[in-house]
Amino acid sequence: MEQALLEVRNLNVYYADRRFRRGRSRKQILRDVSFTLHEGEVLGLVGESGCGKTTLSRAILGINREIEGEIIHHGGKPRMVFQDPAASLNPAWTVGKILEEPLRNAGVPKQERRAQAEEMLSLVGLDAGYYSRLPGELSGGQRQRVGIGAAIIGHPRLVIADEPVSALDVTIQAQILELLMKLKEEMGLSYLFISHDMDVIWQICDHVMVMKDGVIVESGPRDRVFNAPEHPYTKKLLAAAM
Amino acid sequence: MKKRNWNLRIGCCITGVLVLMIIVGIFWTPYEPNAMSSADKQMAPCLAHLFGTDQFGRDIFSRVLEGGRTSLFIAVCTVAIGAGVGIVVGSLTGYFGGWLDEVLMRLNDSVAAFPSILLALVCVSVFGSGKYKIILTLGILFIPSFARIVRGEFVKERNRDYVENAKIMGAGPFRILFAHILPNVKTVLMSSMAIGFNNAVLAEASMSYLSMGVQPPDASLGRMLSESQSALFTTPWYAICTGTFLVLLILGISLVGQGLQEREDL
Repeated sequence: MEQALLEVRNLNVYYADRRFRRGRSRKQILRDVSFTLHEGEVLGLVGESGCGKTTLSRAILGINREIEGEIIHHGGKPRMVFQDPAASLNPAWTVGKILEEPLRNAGVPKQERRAQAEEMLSLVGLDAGYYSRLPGELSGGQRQRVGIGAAIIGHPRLVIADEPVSALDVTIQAQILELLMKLKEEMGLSYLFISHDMDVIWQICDHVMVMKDGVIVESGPRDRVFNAPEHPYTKKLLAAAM
Repeated sequence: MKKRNWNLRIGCCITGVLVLMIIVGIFWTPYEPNAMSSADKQMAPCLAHLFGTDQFGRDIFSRVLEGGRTSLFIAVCTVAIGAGVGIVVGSLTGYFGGWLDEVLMRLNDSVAAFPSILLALVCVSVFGSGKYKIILTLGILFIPSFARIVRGEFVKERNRDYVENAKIMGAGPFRILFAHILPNVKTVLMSSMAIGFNNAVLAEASMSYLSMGVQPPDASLGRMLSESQSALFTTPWYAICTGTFLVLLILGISLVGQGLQEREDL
């Protein structure tokens, strides 16, 4: 078995109810979530919208602090690819600046940053001319390429991709999935891949977790989950995707 | 076809010409602004005196340039103080929220509760008048409006994905505030700075008109307007030329502000 990259144990996440500021009222979003993500693995997380997928990714990234349980990173800080790159890329910044930001924050000197950003552009399939463009001038697929580039430029070992293709056309979806697989091989990445789309999960994942109302109801290797689903909710999702 | 932004163009032209005239006026004016000449009293506009002369024989054109410079200087400094502090206060309160927000915004409200010119007059009568005191007084009084606008924008921006992304990418809070979010509120800020600038020009002119602002012998547009009032029928060009200059200055900046807003909406 490969080395564990991310371990989540008995994670409970709550959201405080803002209507009663000083009250103790809070809503539980995730219930007793536990899983392990291994090096080189693509772990799919599937479930309908509102079931807590994004909450889980935010908890893993450390944005949400109202949590109980353990999240252990064995491979440094993870990075994130967002669903809608039009919103996740700073509209006032050029592509070059966006790509260089993680390097800047990590203390890479300026002259090296530019070279690395241009290298990253070609790695995600954009030519060097995009360096000085604004995100608003790019197509959806190109923007997502920049978003992926910005996520992996600091050489993370784990990338959380939260619905990275669901805002894109089907043909562009296939290209972006292909790019993610190529980068996984070239840079030795692991993915926590979040989606509501069983087809996409089937195409890219090794392992699958099915989440319903904040609880992981089923998990296992992709083929087992798809061919012999045990939980009625998984069966329902698969039937809907057929 | 792209619609031409006439507001921005005309505004830039007017402002550009006036500012250019004022800048030239710093180094050269046709006459010494405060030089009196008993031979040239109350002359109507002519080639030698473009805007005519006042009851002491001073060249009004030179004095308008001098007064315009005072107004511009005071307005720019006032906006710099108001916007500078307002951005810091507004961004901190808008982004972090919590008790800091409560304390600073209530403080803000208590300053904003008074009409700013009235408060400025009170301050001046307590601390005395003069160019720099006026700048400081107006500057501080302008902080709340900027802080409120900036705060609103930061509240709107702070939950957007790119801010979250910046956090994940390892940016510190101050980098997020001033490098990531601030460029995205630039347009709103610029047009509110234009409005603030105009308010500062008007406030200075009103205070000088009430002789609580810039003190003689410094020329000031507001002061000149009040001087011209007593001779409105014998030397009407005094009031007309001074007033027109003031109106054009405000009109120009207003159009620029409006134009900037339209450019964003396109």
